[in-house]
Amino acid sequence: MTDACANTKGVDVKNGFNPAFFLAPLLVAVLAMPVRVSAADSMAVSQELDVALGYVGRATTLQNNLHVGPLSELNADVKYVVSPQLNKDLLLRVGAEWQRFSFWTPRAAATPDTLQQGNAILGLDHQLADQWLMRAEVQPGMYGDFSQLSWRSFDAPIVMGFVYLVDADLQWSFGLRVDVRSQYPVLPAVGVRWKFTDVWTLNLMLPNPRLEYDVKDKLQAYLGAGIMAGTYVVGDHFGDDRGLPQLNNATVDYTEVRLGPGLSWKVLPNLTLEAEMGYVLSRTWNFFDQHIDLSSKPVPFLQIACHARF
Amino acid sequence: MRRLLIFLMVGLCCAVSLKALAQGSDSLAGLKQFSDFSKIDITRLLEGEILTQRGPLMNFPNGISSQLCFAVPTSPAETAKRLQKWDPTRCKSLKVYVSHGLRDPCELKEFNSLYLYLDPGHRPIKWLLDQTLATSACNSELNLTQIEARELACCVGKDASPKTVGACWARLLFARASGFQRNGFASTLLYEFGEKSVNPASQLRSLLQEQVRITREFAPLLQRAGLVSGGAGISPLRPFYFWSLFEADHHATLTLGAVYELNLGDHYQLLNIEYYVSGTYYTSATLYEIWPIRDGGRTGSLVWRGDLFAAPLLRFTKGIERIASGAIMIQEIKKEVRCFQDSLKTP
Repeated sequence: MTDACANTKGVDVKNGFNPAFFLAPLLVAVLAMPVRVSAADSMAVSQELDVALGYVGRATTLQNNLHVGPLSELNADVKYVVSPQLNKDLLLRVGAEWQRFSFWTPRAAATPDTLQQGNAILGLDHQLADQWLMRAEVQPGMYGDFSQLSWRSFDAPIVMGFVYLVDADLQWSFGLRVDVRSQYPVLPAVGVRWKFTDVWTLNLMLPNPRLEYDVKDKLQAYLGAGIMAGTYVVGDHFGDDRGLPQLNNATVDYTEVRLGPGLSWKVLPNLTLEAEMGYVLSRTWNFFDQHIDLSSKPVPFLQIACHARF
Repeated sequence: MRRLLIFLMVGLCCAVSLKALAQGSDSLAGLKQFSDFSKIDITRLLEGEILTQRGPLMNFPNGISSQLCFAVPTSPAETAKRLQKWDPTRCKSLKVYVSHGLRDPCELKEFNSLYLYLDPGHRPIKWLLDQTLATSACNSELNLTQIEARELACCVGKDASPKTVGACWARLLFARASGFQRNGFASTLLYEFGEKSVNPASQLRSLLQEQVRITREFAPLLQRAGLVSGGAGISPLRPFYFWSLFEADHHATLTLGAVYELNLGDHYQLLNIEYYVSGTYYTSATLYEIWPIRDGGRTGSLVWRGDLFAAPLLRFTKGIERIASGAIMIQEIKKEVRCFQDSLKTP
């Protein structure tokens, strides 16, 4: 898969988009269906299915401040979680997530062709006190470019979040993400959801803070940001293929920051479709161990997503 | 003689304190029997603490429940009276626009002031006006029968003025209230525009069915109110009727309700039900039990409050979202309790 091929515009790319890209979300959705039917009337078991697909246009990419050519991206994320109630205040969370970034990468660049994660989700939701809710989640799985899978790709980030419920219109959140392989192993976050008028909500909850406007009961417009980030390990020969042998088996922190308007449509009480477009303000591939840093210039993006709760 | 006097005085003091203790412990024992509260500190309650318990997950998918326990410095009789008659419009955070008592039998003119509160500049009210205008004989987002929807659509026509909409709603509410005053829960009409037709009285019964201990505790009250069977041959209670307009989930909502009171000697039971709700949710019931308490030199009432609530969206609210809904519901009810406690500070 490392052979170069040329697209119609003559830009060298090392990898096309894999059909699995589209099939995997479909597969997860289909697998979720029997559970959905059997658990549809059970109040003690809840299920979440989130699917997102996005395209980021071609952007000039810099490697240690040197131009290495244009790069575009397709990304997909599928997440399914089943949550049985263990007791009045405690819910178990068990599920799986698959996320993939595919980059149409310039030949000379040290950007990976793909970054993927396939992980399990194991966690708990708990009501700590009258106004406090807690979520603790570990996401063990493989995080890499998937050119070859080895235990070096294994990681288990931990996500913890606490929510303080003031009332129906105001909630605070306090979160923590721990990933020992990242350049920043501990990332704290604070968020708030504040419905400050009958139609406006400041929903500053990471990773998708938004200013929301209720157009109708079932339609919401928003101006939102989005942060997609992860830590991955590239393959044994990743560096050799790029003339940078120090990048063999290297760890890379990938971060993408987006900003743009979107629409959220509640098709059914438990099914929401979203579409947003805007600008990816920043994308960075940081091989922090090897001091090689890549970034791309701001570029438009388009994303669609579906969130089901049943 | 002097020894006898001292003995009698000590005996009298003991009897008084034992009586006080018994009064407190009787209330607590009674409360612990049916409620979710196992530890109660009367002193802390009298200082303003409000105990809360989110109800367990129900099999009834539209239902959610909670329990609260608090104290007030008034006697049970006074507390029961104030709970029925207090004016929630004085407490702005509750977002109640109007709450109006009704005579029995009620008259249409008792709803005449409704239009005064339909300010279209206020977004939640505009929602109600828009939904009223959008109602047709075969489609509505509101809780109506098809006949009511047709009549409302004909009545309003294309006139969105508060006066017209208010008058049309007044007729609809008057018809529902009159029917309930004549025939009680047997007369409650269906909400016919959801996925399935819904009867608010059936929803209330489904909510109660899962609260076995509570239903047992309040059986005489529920039977005499006509909400559960077993009241045959017992004189029905005469409730206090009311209509109100308030904000629920940022939507203006009209309700018709009734409060039933049962005097059980030294303590009281109350049932506040909404037998009609115009939209956003289906119905609710609030139960109160009020006992006398004494702590040192302080006297007052120990109040247990149970809230049962049915809404269409709860069917789709599961997992942590449902737990959060229950926790938020409790915070909103706490606001109401604090407002009620504050209202007792003024005569």
